Amino acid sequence: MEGYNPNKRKVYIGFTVFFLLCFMAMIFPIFSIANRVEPILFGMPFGMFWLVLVTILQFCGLLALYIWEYRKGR
Amino acid sequence: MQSWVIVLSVMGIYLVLALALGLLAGRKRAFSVEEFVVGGRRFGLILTLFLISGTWFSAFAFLGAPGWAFSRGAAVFYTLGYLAPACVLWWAIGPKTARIGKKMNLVTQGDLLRERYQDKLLPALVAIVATFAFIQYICVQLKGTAYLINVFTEGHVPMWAGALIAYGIVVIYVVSSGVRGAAWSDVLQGALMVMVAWALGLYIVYHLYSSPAAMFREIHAAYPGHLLIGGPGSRMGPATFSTLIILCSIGAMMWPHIFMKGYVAEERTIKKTILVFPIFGIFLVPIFFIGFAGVTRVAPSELAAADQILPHMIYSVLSVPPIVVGLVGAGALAASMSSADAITHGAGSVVIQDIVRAIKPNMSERAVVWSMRMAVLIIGIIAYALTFGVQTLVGLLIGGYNFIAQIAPSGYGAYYWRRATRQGAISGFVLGTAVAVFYTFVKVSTPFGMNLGVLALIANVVMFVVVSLLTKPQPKEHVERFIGA
Repeated sequence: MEGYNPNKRKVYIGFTVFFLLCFMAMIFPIFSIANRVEPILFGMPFGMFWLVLVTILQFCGLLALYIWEYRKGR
Repeated sequence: MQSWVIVLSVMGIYLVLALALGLLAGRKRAFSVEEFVVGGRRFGLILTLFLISGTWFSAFAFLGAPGWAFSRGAAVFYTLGYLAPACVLWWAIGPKTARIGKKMNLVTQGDLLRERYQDKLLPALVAIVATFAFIQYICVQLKGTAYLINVFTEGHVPMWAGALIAYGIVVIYVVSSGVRGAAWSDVLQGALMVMVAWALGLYIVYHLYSSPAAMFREIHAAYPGHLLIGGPGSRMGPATFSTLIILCSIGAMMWPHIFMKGYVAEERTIKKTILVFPIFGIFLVPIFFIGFAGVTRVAPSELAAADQILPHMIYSVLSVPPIVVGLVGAGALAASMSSADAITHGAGSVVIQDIVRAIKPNMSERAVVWSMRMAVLIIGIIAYALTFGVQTLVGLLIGGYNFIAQIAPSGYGAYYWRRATRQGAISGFVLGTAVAVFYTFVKVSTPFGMNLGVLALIANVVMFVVVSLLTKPQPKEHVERFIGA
């Protein structure tokens, strides 16, 4: 990482906020909105489905980060 | 042929393959420390991915997780919860570890701490605490292995012999091939355990119920609360659930044997591995089903311990041909062996690199590698003896995560906090460990059922920050080599 780059900093802050939100969604108090059995989706109780969904969201976040980092020719 | 002989043969074929693969991996290699500990830093994506997933998913995946789903219901979801956050944090430190490790020739987590904080005491303290956690972790794997072989052969192979054979194979290929032996055997073991988990999980559900949804509705009707966190009938409260996820997210990458895997490949390969890994976590989903399937079908009194739900389902609830039983046994063995190899390898490397070399800095390269091999063997013998000799000790050492997470402040601080100092790192780690010891052995209950490791971590962070700010900062150029890298 050569030198200070305000745009780069903004992008990293954005990603950090996104991952923090995902993390908050997995613990209480926010997890309480998902802490129920119905609806059962893809054969999973809703709480479990929620955790799988947020896991996939975080995967998408990491994928975006990867693409962004390597598109810059680094 | 009697059915247990078929089962044993299938598991035997797997064991022979794992041994052969592990030994072949190290053939014709000159073993430098770098090669033995981190595979020359040149692993590709597949090898790195299987090494990490093999290490991560242990006997707990096949025995503990279904056991939790059966006995504690929704509480088991926490294992799914912390996976992705742990990967995100890994992204923050893993690529840096690969880069800095290559530049400064580091091979263990202790190496990094020593370089950043310019101190030999901290890595040695970390190594001592970690070794205790490691041995306990290995004992759990050994017990699982021994139990599986014993049950699946209908008692024909005694516990001591099953563990001796399976773990003996692990120790042999780790001693001879180092991390490369672990990695190649993990490719076989990882593939096997994923296939078995999915096939078995789905088979059990569709065999006993019309669909997974029907199964969960039946559980919910019979035991309201079993599938929820908190409230009547639930087996875990919100504070415990949340703090467990926090602790494991922060602590997962601080396990020295997992942290070290940051050195085995190039930066970009590490990033790809981290990226794919949460998807591997979906591997856990069908494993939970195995335990949930038993909730309304098996009375808890039928089992001596909840961990036995998987073998119990196979033997008493389903009737499957012996070849399938053998495959399931091999898959479960693979899960525990692929963790045992990485932990034993990590423990041997850390003890020599971070403790012995600090005392005897002038060892030759060759002597270090051979000492690591000896350390692997000795730790293996101690773990085996503890598993079958002093049972109560194993119980006393429970809760490795509570201790390992105490490395986190100085570990993350090494890369991200300029003002972190040696005194702060040591005092934080010592206080955190002391608090964890206090809540483990002296005062066993915590406020709101919060996880004790998180409490210890809070004390640790406060101490780390305050003492660091009160002590003399490290030279700027020195710090920049870690923060700016």
